[in-house]
Amino acid sequence: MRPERFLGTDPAPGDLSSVDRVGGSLRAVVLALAETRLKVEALVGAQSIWQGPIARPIVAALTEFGARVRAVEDAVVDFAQAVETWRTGLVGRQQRRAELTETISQLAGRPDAEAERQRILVEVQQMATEHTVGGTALITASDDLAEVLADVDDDSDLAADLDRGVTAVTVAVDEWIAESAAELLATAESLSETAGLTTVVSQILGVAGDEAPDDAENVRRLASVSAGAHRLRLALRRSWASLAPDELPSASFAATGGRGAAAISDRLRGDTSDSAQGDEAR
Amino acid sequence: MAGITVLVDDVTQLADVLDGVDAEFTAAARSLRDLTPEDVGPPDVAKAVTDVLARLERRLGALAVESGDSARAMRRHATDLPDTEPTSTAEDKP
Repeated sequence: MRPERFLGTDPAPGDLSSVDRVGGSLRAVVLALAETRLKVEALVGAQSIWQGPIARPIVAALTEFGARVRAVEDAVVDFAQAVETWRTGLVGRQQRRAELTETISQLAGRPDAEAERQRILVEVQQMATEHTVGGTALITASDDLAEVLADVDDDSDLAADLDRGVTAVTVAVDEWIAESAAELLATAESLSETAGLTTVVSQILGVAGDEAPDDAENVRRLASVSAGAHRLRLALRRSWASLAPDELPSASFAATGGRGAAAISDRLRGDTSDSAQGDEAR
Repeated sequence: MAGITVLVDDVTQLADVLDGVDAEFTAAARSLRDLTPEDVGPPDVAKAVTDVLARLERRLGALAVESGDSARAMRRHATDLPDTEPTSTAEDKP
């Protein structure tokens, strides 16, 4: 039943299924924006590998990108809520429109129902006004979203910023390796002459597994007397100097064997209880 | 050369995430492109909604392109980083 035929006008035009499709797409967009923003933020979060002054440009670039995504996300959420409000009003008005159309159609040909007919037409007029107000709110929400989208910085260049940032980190790592490579390589070669390098390093770092006791003892003995082990210890201590506590406990390879022995990483953190444990083992 | 190996992994991880952002935003923009909101309400309302959805589609497309470009830049870095294999091993020695 067409409302225009009985009411003289359609007081609540709008296709509900079309509004639903818009709402569904907006929800999908919000989800995409939120999920990707969280992934980008996780790249530079507290657990991120990108820490320290050298990595700061990378963190800044990704943080800025995340902020831009967040701005769009927030604005789309606001707009989606406005669309949902429009939908709710549309459903109510179109339902009432159907009722009024049905009622006025039954009054046709009844001169005694003129007053009732006029009351319905007044309500239709009120509904049309309400529909216009609701539409104006949705237009305002559209304008607000458009404004945010226009304000999102077009001058930003994530690719260039990240490119510069990663280049800086690569250069820093290259410099560190150039500084340390000769010593580490000489250490590795020296150690490989006397014991399995992997096993010895595991022992030194305190992450050795459950080797046969005889083998572990042999490795500890070799590591404790190897000049290479001494050089590796120096190299490790130097590269971790920035992480070490002010009073770095002296590393002793003789004390790193066996279950429950203190790992050198624990010592570097200044964990005295582990150190005491290691002392007891010694 | 463990530092370089870690760096390659981390730069590759950056590229992977940015590729994911590219794919997500491209799909989101496409879903908006397929909409026909011309009858969501009276003509002025429908026009405002249609216009802003087109803007949103373009913005998502731009963010997707930016992410994709960044991912490619990161992959170039990961590829350009030096070979991580040690130059001398115990097996090499006589």
